[in-house]
Amino acid sequence: MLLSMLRRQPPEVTVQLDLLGGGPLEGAFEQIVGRVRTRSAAERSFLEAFGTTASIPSPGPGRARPDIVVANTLAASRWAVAATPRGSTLVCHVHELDGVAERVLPTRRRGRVIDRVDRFIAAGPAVEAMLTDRWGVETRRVHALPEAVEPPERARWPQHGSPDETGADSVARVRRHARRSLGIPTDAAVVISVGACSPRKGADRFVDLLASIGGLRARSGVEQPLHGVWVGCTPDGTLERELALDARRSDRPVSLHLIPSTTDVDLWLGTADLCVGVAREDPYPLALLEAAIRGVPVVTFASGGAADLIASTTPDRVVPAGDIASMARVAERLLRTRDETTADLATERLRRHVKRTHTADVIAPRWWGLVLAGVDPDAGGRSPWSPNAPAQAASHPEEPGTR
Amino acid sequence: MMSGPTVWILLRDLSRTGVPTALERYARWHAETAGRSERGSLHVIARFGGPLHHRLAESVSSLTVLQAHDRSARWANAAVSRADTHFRSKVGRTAQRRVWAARRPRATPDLAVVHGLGGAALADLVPSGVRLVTHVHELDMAAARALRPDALRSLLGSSTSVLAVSAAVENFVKELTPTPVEIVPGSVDSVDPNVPRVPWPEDPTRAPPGSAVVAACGDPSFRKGADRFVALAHEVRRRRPGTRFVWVGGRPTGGFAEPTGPVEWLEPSPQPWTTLGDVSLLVVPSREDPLPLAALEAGARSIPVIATDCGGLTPLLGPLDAVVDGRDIEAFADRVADVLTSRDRAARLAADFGRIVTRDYSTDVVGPRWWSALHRAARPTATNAHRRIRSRPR
Repeated sequence: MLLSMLRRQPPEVTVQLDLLGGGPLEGAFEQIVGRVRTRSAAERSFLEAFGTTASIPSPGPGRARPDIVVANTLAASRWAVAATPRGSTLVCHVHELDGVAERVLPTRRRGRVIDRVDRFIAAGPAVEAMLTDRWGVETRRVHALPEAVEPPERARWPQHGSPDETGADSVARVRRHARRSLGIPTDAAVVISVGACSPRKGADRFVDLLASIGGLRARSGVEQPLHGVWVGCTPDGTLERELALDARRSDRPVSLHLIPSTTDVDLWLGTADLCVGVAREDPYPLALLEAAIRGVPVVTFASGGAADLIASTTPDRVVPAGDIASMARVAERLLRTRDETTADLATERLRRHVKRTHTADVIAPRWWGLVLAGVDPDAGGRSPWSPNAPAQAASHPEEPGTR
Repeated sequence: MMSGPTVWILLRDLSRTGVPTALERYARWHAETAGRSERGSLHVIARFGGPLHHRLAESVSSLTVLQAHDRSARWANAAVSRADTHFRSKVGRTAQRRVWAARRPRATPDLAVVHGLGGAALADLVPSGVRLVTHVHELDMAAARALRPDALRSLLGSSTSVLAVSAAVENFVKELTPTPVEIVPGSVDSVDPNVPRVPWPEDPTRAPPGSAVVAACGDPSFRKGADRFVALAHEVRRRRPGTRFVWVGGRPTGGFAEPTGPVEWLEPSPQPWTTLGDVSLLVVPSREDPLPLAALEAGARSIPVIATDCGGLTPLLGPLDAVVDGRDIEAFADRVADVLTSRDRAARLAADFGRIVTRDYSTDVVGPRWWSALHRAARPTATNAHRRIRSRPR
């Protein structure tokens, strides 16, 4: 999300980037903002111990004093509070919901962050409700903004593509390649989920979901094989090992493929006939948006920020949290009717809605507006969570100079 | 007159879960019933304490707990520090020796029993040359969490004999070791049929009076299938609105924390059957469960049980048509709704399962088998004389 926003930064803005830890996207950030400063383990330890009470010398050698500091996630907020010079504006973009929020910013350490941050950008209405209803932040300081995805035409397709092929050809080729690499027959039905292989993301429920869909298909006489793909696994992870064991158990084994984290999300979404969101808690799952914008049907639990979005166009594809049997029925119907006009139309409706309201080209001006001036330039526009209603909680423009 | 062996029993903790509960029942039977001439003495060494401490202490000759239940006693932890790499310094080893010297049982053992693979970390405390019995209460998932595969093979290989709590565990163990395996299951105490069932407390805010209550027990984890119980509750309540679903064993926490839903999460109880005594049905939604004692206890109380195909219950409940593939939630719900709907079916299932439990799993039946297996292992024979602890498995 941040990378997408920085790719679209206004020309008058200069960005300096401090990272608490490195990662595979570090090079991409460097291409945009120049030198990236990555904090050492010792500095992170210092933050852990004194993050909300110490004042960290900022901005560091060779750097200009910032007018605005953006903490991208609550995990960075304590660091940002310590590093923000007096008089500078501090903006915190909150991507976490209750469980993770409590872990990265425990209640006992929350007060100073809440007091110091000038405005919060909340990743969707669920996060906004957490900040205002449960944390007691004034509504005028909280601005809900959807997460953003890169439009598919700008996304990086795998290197084996050719630049002049059509979108449909490309999808078909990627699909064949991805399936072949996993040993999935080209005629199989593939259900995918993307995210860390953790209980918070509901990975523990994935095998039961696949088995339940398989059971429904078997009882309906469907012989097409069913495969499940979870992207975001850790090699030799405990839950991964136990999921694999669970999938193999009994006389009706489930075909499960556990794929490590990858930047090639396109490749794996290209294999899928259906993308499922089974998280217990997920403020705004990008994977569902990525799938939706590529025309992959989506079904999700009503357990996070994307449920409102999906329910706004395809309400029958949102089921109660933890209700595996309901999700299996919806999934089975979507797999069975994938090529039928009605199902296709609903998927297309969601795709268009996501493209209109959630692409980085649409969100970036709003994000920069909120960061720079505390004003959402699309405040009067339509709510991204309900295509038929005007924006409600999407923004609360604040008066200059107020907190 | 022959005197019985002195046995050290090593286990992970004294919580109210299946492994310590099984030991508490064996030990109580041993204290009350075992032949005086062959009684010997039992010395229990647990790494962590827990709520079973006092009950177990009443039945054994000594009970050593190396670390407080809250795991905050850092110096006591030094006693088992070779399992914890951060205590490998010279200072740590010295502290470890001191703590162990102060707390160890005074009686030299003839036999050491690793009771559950969680106790394997303590095998290093057993004097060299002592015969070892490993009583396996785990299947794949739990075993992998307790020990690395090579350490498990090493432990089984150095054991004089291996006990397994069910046929499923026996099959699992036989793939790892040529050591003979004997089945010694967990057990249940006999239930006085004249004690009336305590009616389930009504809660009109949740369900109309007289609604069916479906219960499950255990640590609300992935292995025990707490998430599956939630899914089952959603599906059954669609068919039978008002049915209550109760999990006794606490609320899922951390990443497993469930949003508000159809399940009532009750904290673990020292007397769970006071709470659960009048439930309509007990389900075992586990992904893996070698032999859940809660199911046996339900059987002893004439409560019908439906279990997933998760281990030790399959041969018991399979012939009664009460085993399901728990991963297929709709099929699971079909079976549950069937039992809730048909009183005859529920009564028949409860009676048939109750007979099996009373016949094969009461402590009076299992206790002698357990003690006999230990007694045999303690005697040197041509086949086991060479099997003694040489090095602790890691």
